[in-house]
Amino acid sequence: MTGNGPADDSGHEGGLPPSRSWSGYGDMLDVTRRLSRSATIALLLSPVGILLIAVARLLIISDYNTVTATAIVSSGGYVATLLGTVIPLVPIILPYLALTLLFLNRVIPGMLTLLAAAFISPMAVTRPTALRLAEKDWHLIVNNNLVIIVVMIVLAVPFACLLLVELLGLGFNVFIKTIATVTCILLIPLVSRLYPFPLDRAFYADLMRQPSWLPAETVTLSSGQAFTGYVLSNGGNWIEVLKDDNRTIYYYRASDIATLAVCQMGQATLMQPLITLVPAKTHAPSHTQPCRASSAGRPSPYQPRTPALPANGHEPSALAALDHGPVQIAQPSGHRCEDARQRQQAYEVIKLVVKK
Amino acid sequence: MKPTAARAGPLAIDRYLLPSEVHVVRLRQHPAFLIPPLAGTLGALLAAIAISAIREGNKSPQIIVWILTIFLLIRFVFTAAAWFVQYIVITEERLLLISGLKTRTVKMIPLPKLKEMTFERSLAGRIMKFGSFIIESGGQIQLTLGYIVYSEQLYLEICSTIFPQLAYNEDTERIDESPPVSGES
Repeated sequence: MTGNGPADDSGHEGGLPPSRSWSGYGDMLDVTRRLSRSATIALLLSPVGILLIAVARLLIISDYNTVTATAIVSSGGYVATLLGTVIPLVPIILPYLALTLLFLNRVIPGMLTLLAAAFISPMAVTRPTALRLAEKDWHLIVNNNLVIIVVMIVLAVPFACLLLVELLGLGFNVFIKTIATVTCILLIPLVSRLYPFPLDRAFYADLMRQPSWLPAETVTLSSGQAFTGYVLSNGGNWIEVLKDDNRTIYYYRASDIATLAVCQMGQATLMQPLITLVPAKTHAPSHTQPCRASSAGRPSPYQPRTPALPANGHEPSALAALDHGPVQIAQPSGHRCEDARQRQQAYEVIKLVVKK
Repeated sequence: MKPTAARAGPLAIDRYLLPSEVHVVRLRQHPAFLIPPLAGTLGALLAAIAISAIREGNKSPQIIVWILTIFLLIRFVFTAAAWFVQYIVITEERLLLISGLKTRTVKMIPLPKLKEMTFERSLAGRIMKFGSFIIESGGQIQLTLGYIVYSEQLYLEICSTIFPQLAYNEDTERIDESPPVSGES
C-alpha cells in the first residue's frame, strides 16, 4: 500500500512483508495499536487468562468457599467445569465484541465475530420482528426533519468522495476500515435491541452465581421439602446437590428424592439466534417452570434423622457415618420418584455411550 | 507549499540540527494523510445524526453512538494537530523525522542507509501529488514514509546527496531546474 502513512500497517504491495509506518500521533491516539499490543488483553485471551476467569467464576458460584469450589470441580470434572464457566458467557458478549473489533478497525476478526453472533447468540426478538425493526428505523431516518435531512446530505457528499478517494487511491484496506467504523456505529442501536445487553444488575448477579453448565432443578424430598439446587452427580445410591441458597453441597440418598424437575433461574428466556442452521422444532416450545427461589431460603420444617454431609468431594457413605454437620440426609423411604428413576436411567445410558 | 530556504524553518526543527548542519529539505506530509481519520469521523457523524432520528426505546445506544463519534472527532483533531507539527528534514548527512504532539520524537536515518530505498506512487499519489519511500535494510522493510509531497523531486534530491558524482555530471542541469523540493504544506 503506497503512501498510506499511518494506515499502512496491514501489508504492502508486491507481496512484501508489512512495514512500520512513520506517524506522528501513534503515541497518543492510536488506540487500535495500543490494544493489539496490550499485554493484559493477551493474558486474558491466553489459556492462563481463561483459567483465571474460570477460577474466579467458580469461586463466585461457590460463594467464595474454596472447599465447595473444589467439590464442584471434582464432581463435574476439570474440563467440564472450565468450559462450563466460560462458554455460557460467550454468546452474551459476542455481538458487543464484534462491534468493538469493528470500531477498532479489526475488520476480519470483527466480521467473523459478527457472523458467529448471528449463529449462536440468542436474539430477544424473532427474525421477522428484527427485519421490521430495521425497516422501521430506516423509515424514521428517511422521514426525518427537513433540516436534518439537508445536514445529512451535506455530510454524506464529502463522505462519499472521501470513500471514493480511499478506495481508488489509498487502498482497499483503508477503505474497509473506514466502512467498519461507520458500520459499527450504525449497528449499535440494532444490536442493542436484538441482543439487549442486560443492564439490570440482578441479571449479572444471577448469571455469575449460577453454575450455568448445570441445569437448576427443583428438588423435592420425600418429606415434602422442596428447594432449588444443582445436581452435581447422580451416581447410584447417592445424589450430590449444590443448594442454591447457601451454596453448600449436600448428599442425599436417591431414595429420599421424591422428584427432580428442571427449572428456570433468573431472566433467561428461550431465544433463537438470527441464523439457525438446523431447525430445532421450536414451534411449540416447552416452557420451563421457574425455580422456587424462596423455598430454600426458609427454615425447613423437615428434620432429618441421619447425619449427612457437607462433605465436598468425599465419599458420602463415610461422611454420612459421621454424626455431625449442619445438614442431614433423609432416611430411605423406599419410595423413589419416576423422575429420579428416569434420570438415573438416562445417566447410565450416557455413561455407556461415553464408554463406547 | 512554499519553498523554504535553509535555516528558515521553525525553531523547533533547528534545535535538532548541529551548528554546521544545513537542512536541504524540510517538509510536512501531504494533507491526504488526514483522509482516513476524516472519512471515519464524517461517516460516524452522519451515522450518529441518522441514529438520533430513532426516538423509540432505550436512549443508551444513542448516547454510546454520540460518545464514540465525539471520540473520533477528538482523535481527528489530535491527528491533524500532530500532522501539523511533524516534519521530515533532510540534511547533507542524515534524514530526520520529527514528530509527536505530546512526546517529541526525533528519528534519525543516516543518508547512506537510504541506498536501499524504494520509491512508490499509488494512483491517489499520482493524482494528489504524493508518494512513499520505503526504507529497507538487508532486504527487510524498516520504515515506510508515506504521503511525501514533491516525492519525485525529493527522490532526486536524496539521490544527488547520496551520489554527488552523478548529480554533478549529466543530471546537474535537470536537478537545478527542478521545482523547489522543500516547503510547508
